[in-house]
Amino acid sequence: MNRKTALLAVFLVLATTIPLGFAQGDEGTPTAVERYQLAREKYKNNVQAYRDARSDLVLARQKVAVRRNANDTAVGLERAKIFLLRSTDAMISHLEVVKTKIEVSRALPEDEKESAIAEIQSYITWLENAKGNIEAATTRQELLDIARAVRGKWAESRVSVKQITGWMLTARLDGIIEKGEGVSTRIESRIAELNEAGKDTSKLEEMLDDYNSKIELAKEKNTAAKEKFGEIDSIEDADKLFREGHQFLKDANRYLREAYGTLKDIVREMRRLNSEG
Amino acid sequence: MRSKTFLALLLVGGAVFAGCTGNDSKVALKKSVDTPSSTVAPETAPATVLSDSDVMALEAELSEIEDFLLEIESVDIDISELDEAFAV
Repeated sequence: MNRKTALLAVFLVLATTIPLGFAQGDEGTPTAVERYQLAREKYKNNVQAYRDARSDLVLARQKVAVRRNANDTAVGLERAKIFLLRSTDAMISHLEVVKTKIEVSRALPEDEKESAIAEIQSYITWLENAKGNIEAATTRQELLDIARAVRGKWAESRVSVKQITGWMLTARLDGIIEKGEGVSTRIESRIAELNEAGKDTSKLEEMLDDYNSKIELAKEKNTAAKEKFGEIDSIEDADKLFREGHQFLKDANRYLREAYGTLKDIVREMRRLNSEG
Repeated sequence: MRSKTFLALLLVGGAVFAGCTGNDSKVALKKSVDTPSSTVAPETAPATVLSDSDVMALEAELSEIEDFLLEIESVDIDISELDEAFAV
């Protein structure tokens, strides 16, 4: 190979490596959004592993029930340990999803975000430690005791997750509603301009009233959702209150969608008035 | 010899162009993920009161909220099976 050919080879290598270099940029570590996506993926896999281990356990239990006269009176300790470990992994990865979701949230102030993340992390750490105890268990009773403690901590974490999720999503909706109110103010001033220019803005004003009332309804529903989520404080009522809060948020979302539908009509009407001579 | 020099220059140009394109696509990707959605421009002209991308961003944001609520509600990890398994 002569010098020029070697030079060409170097350029060819450069041509393929430079785009990669730019694509990676200065961020060697994944962003919060990427971490959230990875956490979701891991959660899906762990839930599948939990379901498989659960099926194995149920199947083993059925087999034992058939062989009742045999010396085996219950499923083996190892199989039970695997089930408990897979379950704990699924719990941890769910909490990781929630934690990264909080990290990517722009709706919460930094200090509130940090305290929510710390709370979720404390459950993750507890469950991670429990995995060591599960692996070390040597008797069924020991494993049952650990399982009871895991179940209690998991239920406790579900209460926190529901409170935090409600709090985070209603704050996010607050931001959307606020933007919607900002749009209303801009339309108002635009209508005033059109009025000054001698245009008939009665239809536009009617539509703006409709838009405002929908934004107001979304706000009311979001407030109602906040109240429901704010009432969550025990395992017993967490599911019910979360479902109710969820319904209020869905209603708020519906009103926002309708408001934006009206907004499209407003823009169309403005264009029509503008195009008039 | 001249043609080889020309080829080499062409490759350098190609490499720089490809690099810039890679950077652009990265910026575009970052924007689509990290930029706050449903941001409506503050101008009063009709076209800027609401654009199609604002509506799409709002829809995406509302759907994401609903999906996450459903995800939280549908978690069903239950280890009570263990008590029953040992109780056989």
